[in-house]
Amino acid sequence: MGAQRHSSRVAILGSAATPVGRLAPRYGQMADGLEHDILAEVAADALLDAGISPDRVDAAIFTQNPPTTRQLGFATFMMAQLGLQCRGLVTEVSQLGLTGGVAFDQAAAQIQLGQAEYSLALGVVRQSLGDMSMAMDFGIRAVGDVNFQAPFAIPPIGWYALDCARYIHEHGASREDIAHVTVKSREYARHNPLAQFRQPLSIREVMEQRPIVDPLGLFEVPARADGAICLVLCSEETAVASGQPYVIVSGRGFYHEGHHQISDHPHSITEFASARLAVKTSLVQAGVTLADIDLAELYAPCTITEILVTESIGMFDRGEGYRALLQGDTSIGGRSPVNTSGGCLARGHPPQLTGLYGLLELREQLLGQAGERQVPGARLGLHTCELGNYNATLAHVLEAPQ
Amino acid sequence: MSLSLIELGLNRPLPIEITKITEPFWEGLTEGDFLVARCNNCRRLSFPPRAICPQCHAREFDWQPVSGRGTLYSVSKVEQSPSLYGILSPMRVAVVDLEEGIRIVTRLLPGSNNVEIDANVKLVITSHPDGYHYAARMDDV
Repeated sequence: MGAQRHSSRVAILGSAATPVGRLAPRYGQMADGLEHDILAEVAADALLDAGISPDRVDAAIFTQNPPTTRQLGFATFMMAQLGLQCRGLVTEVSQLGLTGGVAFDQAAAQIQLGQAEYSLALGVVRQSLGDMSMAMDFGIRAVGDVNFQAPFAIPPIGWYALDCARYIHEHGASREDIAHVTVKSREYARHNPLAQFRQPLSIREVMEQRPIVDPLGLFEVPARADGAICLVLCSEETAVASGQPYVIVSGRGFYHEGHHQISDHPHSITEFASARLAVKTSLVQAGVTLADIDLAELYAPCTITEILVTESIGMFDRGEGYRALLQGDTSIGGRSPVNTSGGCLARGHPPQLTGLYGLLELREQLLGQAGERQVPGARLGLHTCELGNYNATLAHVLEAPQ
Repeated sequence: MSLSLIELGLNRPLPIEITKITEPFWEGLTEGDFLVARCNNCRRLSFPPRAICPQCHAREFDWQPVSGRGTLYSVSKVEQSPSLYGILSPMRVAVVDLEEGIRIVTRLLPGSNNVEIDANVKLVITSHPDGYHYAARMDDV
């Protein structure tokens, strides 16, 4: 394409992240550091990875911390930790599961608007010591009308369970068919040093777990997870001139359906319209088709969610996603690798950061740095994150430079 | 048309803030009716009640009782609820499609051995020490 499109593209030039898992101390032990300490070290590592000095950073978009973080005013407080002086924008963003993706999207916009030469998308989650009842209450009130749905105490994963029950009813899949997403996710995560759960699981071990939100059991929903991550962004020209390895953001799409969780006017909950539309927009902007995509990192907190997204974006026909999974199409060596990081179920799901960890996985894959989970010759990656019951989707296409 | 009333010993799980917009709905429950709002302009039905119609942005609504008849669109059983909700876990939750074309989320009361998707359900009013609420149960209960 012409120089105009070329000049507006953004690159990811550097990154750093902690493994997903537990950043809070064990009982009776001293913490390594508070949230701002943990993130300061990760951001410094990301700048070293990008090969730039802190005074080059013009913008920093933070994911808002969960309510377990005591330090408020977090983004501006972090500026003092990092010693950054910025002429672009410093802020924190929060929009449920979209949060990490929105931080990335806005950091990229800072580059495209010319307000920053380098920008950061970053955040930290340290919630593993938090009160479980409070965390559940926050989750329930985030995913339902506080007066008309929250009283029925449906947690975020409960909505995916409702999707799952309906999908099983419509397509004749079994719970076990769908649970294979966890087995596949663990196979990938074995080879991901950032993953929370790196031990393989058999389908029998998944099926033996206690129910959490029927028809989903313990290993079919995400565990609580902490993490910290920072991506360094700049223009494609700046990345080329740097001589450092980079990947390009070649497409972006967004869509909000105009309802939250479900509409009061019936629609299918097993087809995510926002995912279909946002991904289509991102592919068109990138000038590619879904068939060109080498791997996809799809925000999918529960097993069923991954299947529904693969169908919704057109990777598989409706009702065929679980069959494709069982045939190994989305596994290592399959024709459509999905969530090679291990995804929310094995790489782990610190909710505000999941979008950023997914983008990091694509970066590693497209740079050929993914070790034994590497998709050979990967040049194009698709990323999604979402909110509600995929009522809104933010999609990005990442590309390895030619 | 009055819906069945079922006595439950526990308080409603969360304190409900009644407003000028939602008061007619809660008042309706005390008289055995589950009311939905119909936009005076475009006639779209809304539940929960809203300040404005999401379809045409008009602000005037009529209230209409539903029959209570519907089908079970989907169902889950939530094994654990936060202690502050005072809910006896596990609890079944349901997506119910009412015959008027309105979809709601509510609790599915126990008592049926035939909890099947697309089967008939009916809305009921539940009476609690602190007021009225609503739930669904399978049609065979």
